[in-house]
Amino acid sequence: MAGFTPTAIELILLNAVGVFSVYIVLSGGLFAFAFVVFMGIGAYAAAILASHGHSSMLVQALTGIGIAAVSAMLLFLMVARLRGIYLGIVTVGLTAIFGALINNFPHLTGGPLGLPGVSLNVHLPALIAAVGFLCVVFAAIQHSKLGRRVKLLRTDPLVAGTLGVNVRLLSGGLFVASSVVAAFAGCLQAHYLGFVSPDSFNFTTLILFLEMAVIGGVSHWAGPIVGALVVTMIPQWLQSFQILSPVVSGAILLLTILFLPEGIVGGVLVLGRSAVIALRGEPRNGGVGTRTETR
Amino acid sequence: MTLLSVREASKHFGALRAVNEVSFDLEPGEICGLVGPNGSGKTTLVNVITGVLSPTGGSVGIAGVESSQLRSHAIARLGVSRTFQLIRLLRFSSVRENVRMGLLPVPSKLPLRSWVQPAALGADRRRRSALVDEAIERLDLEHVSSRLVRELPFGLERRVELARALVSKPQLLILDEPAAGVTAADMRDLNRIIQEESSRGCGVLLVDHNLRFVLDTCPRLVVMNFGQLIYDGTSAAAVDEPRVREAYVGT
Repeated sequence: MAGFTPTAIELILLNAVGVFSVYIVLSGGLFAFAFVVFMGIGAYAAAILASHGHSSMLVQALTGIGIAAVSAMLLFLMVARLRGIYLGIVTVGLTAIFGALINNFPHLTGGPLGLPGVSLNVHLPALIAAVGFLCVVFAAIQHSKLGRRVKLLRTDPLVAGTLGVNVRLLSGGLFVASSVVAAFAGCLQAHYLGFVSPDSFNFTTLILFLEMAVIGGVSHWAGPIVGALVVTMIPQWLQSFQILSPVVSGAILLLTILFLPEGIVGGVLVLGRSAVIALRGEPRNGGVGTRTETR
Repeated sequence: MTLLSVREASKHFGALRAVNEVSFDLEPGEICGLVGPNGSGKTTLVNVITGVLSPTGGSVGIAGVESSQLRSHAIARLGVSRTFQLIRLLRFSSVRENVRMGLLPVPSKLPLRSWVQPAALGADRRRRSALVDEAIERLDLEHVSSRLVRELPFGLERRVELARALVSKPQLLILDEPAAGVTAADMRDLNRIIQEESSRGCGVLLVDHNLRFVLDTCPRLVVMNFGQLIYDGTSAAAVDEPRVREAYVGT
C-alpha cells in the first residue's frame, strides 16, 4: 500500500508504544491523561543524562522509568479519590504544568530549544521488538484473570467491587503501569529522533495519542497498533491535500465514537460476530430459546 | 455462628436518614425477606451490608468478621454475592464470560510453585470451568451460553445475573428485586433455586416489593419504613401486624 515507507513504519511503531500507555489507563476506564508528562519524563531523563555524559541507553531508560513510576505512585495517592472527568481535568492540568516547567528551566532542559545529543540508536528492529513485546504481554493479560478484572473495572466499577476486585489497588496499578510504558516510549522517541523538545510533550501530543487510542479501541490489545497506524498514516495518504488531513482525522474520530464505540478493533470483532451469526442463518434474536419473554 | 449480624447500622446522607439504627441477624440457611415501600431504605441497607456504601454508624458482621469498615471487594471475598435491582452485566460479553466473572472473588488456592506446573494449573482451570458449566445448567442457560448479553431478552438477563451470583457458591446471597418484571414460570424457578441454596447452608436475603412472592418464598420477614426496621418476625404474622399494614396500605 502507498505511503508505507520505512520511516512511516518506524513512526507507526514508535507511536504505538506510546499509545499502549494510553490504552492501559483507558482499558480500566480511568480518564488519566498524564501520559504525556510521563513520556516527557522518559525522554528528558534520556537527554539530560546524555548531556551529562551517561550514554548507556539502559541506564537512561531505567532512570526515566523509575522516576515516572515513583511520581505516578505519589500522584495517584493524591488523585485516587477522583473519578471520571475530574481525574481528566487534573491530569490535563499536569500536562500544562509539565510544559511550563521544561520551558522555564533551560539550564537543565534546554528550554524551548530542547536538548540535542541523544545517541541515534533506535531503528526498525528495536521498534518491532518493543511493540512485539508489548503485544505479547497485553494479549496474555487480556485473556487472564487480570484482564477480566480490568474489563470489569472499565465497564462497571461498582460491580467490579462486589465481585472481589480491589478497585483502588487495580486503578493505581494501571496508572503506574501506564507511566512505565509512557516513560519507555519517551526514551525510545528521544533515541529515535536524537533530541528532545518541549513541542513533543504538550496538549497537542495529548490529543494526538488520545485520538489514536480511541480510534484503535481499548477493548483489545491490537487497538493501539491499529490506532497508531490510522492516525500516523492519514497525513501520508493525504500528502497532496495536506490541508484536509486534520479534517479527515477529526471525521474518522467522530465516526469511530458514533458508530464503533469500542474502537476499530472492538467494532470489527462485534461486526464479525454478527456476520458469522447471519451467515449461519440464525435469526439475530431468535434461537434464544423457548423462554423468550418481552420486556 | 450467626452469618449476618447488623447492629444499629445507620446510613445518613446529610439530614436524610436513609437507614436509621437497623438491627437484625441472619443464620446460615435462613431465608429472610426484606420488604418495605419505595424509598424505605432497603437498597441502601443492602449497599451498606455489601460494602458499596460505608455505614455512618453501627456495625455489620459477616460470619464473625466485623465488616462495616471493609470495602466491597473484601466483603465479596468473605462469600457474599448479590444481584442488582437494575441488571448490571457486561452487555458486550457472552453469557459464559459474565458468569465466569462471578468466580473472581474465589481465590484459586494454588501454591506458588504450581505456576510452573501445567498440570496443576490445568486442573484448576477445569475445576473453575466445571463450576461455570454447573451454574449455567442450573439456570437453563446452556442454549445461549455463547450469546452476547445484549442479544438476550430481559428474563434471561436476570438469570445470567443470578448465575453470576451463584457460581462462587456464596455463604450469603443478597437478591435485590430478583422478581421484578419476570414471568410466573421464572418466579417458580427462582423460588426453587432459593430453597436449594438455603438447604446448602447459604443465607438468603431477598429484597422485593412483590409481597406475594416474598411471602411464598420466605418464612421470615423484615419490614422497613422511613429507614427504620418496623417488623421482624414470621411472614405469616406480618400481614396482621398493624404497623406493616399501615406502611403498605396506608391508613
